[in-house]
Amino acid sequence: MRKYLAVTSTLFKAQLVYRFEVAMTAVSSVGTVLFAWVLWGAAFSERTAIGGFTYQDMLSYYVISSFIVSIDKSNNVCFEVSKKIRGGTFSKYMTIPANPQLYFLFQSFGVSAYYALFALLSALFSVGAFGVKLSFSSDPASVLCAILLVPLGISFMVSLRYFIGLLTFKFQDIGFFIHVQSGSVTFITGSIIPIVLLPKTVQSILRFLPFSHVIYTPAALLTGQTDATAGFSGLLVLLGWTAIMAVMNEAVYNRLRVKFDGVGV
Amino acid sequence: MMVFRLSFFGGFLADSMLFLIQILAFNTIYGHIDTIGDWSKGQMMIFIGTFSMLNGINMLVYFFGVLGIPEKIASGELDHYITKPVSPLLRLTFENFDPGSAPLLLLSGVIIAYGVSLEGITLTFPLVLGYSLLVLLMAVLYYDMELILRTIPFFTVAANAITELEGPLLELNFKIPGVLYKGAFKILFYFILPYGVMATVPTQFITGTLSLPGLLQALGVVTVFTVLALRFWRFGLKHYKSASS
Repeated sequence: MRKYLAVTSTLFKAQLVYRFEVAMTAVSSVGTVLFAWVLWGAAFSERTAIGGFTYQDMLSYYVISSFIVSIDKSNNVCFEVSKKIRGGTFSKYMTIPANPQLYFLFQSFGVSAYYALFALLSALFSVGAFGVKLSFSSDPASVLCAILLVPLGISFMVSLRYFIGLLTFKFQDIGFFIHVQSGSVTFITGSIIPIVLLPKTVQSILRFLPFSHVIYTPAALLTGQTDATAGFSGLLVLLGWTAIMAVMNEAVYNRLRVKFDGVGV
Repeated sequence: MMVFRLSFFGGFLADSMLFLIQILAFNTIYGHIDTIGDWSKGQMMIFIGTFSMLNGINMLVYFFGVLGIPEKIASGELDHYITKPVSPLLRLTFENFDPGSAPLLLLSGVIIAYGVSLEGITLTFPLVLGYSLLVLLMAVLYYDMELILRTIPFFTVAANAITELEGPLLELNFKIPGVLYKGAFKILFYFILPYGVMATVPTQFITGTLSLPGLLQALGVVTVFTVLALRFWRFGLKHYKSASS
C-alpha cells in the first residue's frame, strides 16, 4: 500500500508543473456554472420549479457537479495507457513491482487531490460571482454517502478508462472508443443536466448502471435533492461495477500483454 | 490513412457526438418546459444544427490549417510560406482540407431540417438563400476569431493560454443562444468575443425573428472583425522574426 501512496504523493507534486491545465480546468468549471446561470435563468424566468428543482437548487447542483467533474481526471488514463502501449514504454509498468491498474488508480488520486484545491476555489468563486445560495443537505448520512461516492466514482472511471486504454494492445487506434465513451459518459453521469429530468424509464435503467452515481448521485445528495437510501444503493452499485471492471481489466491485461512489443521486452 | 479509418473520421465522430448529446440534453429540458427565454424547441434545434454546420465548415476547410500557425511561427517554418509567390495566409488557410469532417455537414443539415419541421417553417428560395449567406458570413467570423488568436504568437511566441481559452468559450456558446445573454455578457459575446452571434443570427433569420437592426449589427460585426483579422495578420507578419534572420 505504501508504494501506491508514494505514487499518489508524487503525482500530486508533479501537477505543480501543469499550472496552465489547472487554470483551464478552473475556467471550464466556472463556465459550467455560467452556462447554468444563463440557460436556467432564462428557463426559470416564467416558472419557479422544474423537475423538483428551484433555480437556486439548480445552480447549487451545477456548482457541486462541476466541482466533481473538475477533480475527475480519469480521462487522461485512456490517453496515457494508449500512448505508452503504442510508444513501447508501457513495459515500465510490466517490470515495476506494482499492479498497473492500481498504479494508474493511485496516480489519478494524486492528480484529483491537487485539482480539488483549485476546484474548490472555482466553486467558491462561482457561488460569489453568480449569487448562488448554496443548498446543502443537513442529513449526515447523505453527506457521508456523497463523500464516499466521489472517490469510488473516480475509481470506477479510472478502471473504465484503463480498460479503454488497454484496448490499444488489440487495436491500432482507440480514438473511436475514446470519442464514443467520452460523449456518452458526460451525458449519463449527469454533468450536463440532472438525471432526474430524464424520462422515468431511463432513470430506472441508469440506477443500475454506475455512471449516474459518479456525478449525479453525490451532487444530488449534497444539495438535498435525494436521500441517503439512494446514496447507499448508489454505493452498492458502484462497488459492484468497480469490482467487475477490476476483474475484467486483470483478465484483459493478462490476455493481451503477450501481444506487446515494447522497449526492452 | 486506410489503416486509421476511425482516426480519419475522428473529428466527425468527436463533434457529432458533442452535438447529438446537446440535442439529447435540450430534448430533455424541453420535455419539462415549452420555451427557454422566448426560444422554442424548434428554434433551439436549428441553433444547434447551425452551430454544427459552422463547426463542420470550419473543420472541413480551414481549422487544421489555421491551427498550425503558432507552431509554424515558433519553429520558423513560416519562412517557407513567405518565400513562395502566393499569399502565405491563403496557403495556410486552405492547405489542410479535412474531408473526414464532410459528414458533419450532412448531420448538421439533418438537425436543421428537424428544427425546421418542428417550427413548421415553409422553406422558400429567398429564405434558404438568406440563411445560407448568413451561415457563410458567420463561417468567415469564425475564421476571423481563430486567425486573430493565432496571430498573437507573432508577438509572444507562445500563446497557448490564449488559444486554449477558445475551447471553453466556444463550448459555452455552442450551448447558449446569444439572445439569452444579458448585460455585460451580451456585450462580451456580441461585440468583443462575438461567438454569441455566430449561430444565433442565422437561426433568427430562418425563424423570422431577426430584426433589421439585428441584421445590420451582425453584418457590422463580421465586417469589423474581418478587417481587424487581416490587418492584425499583416501587422504580425511585419513583426515575424524568421528562423533565418
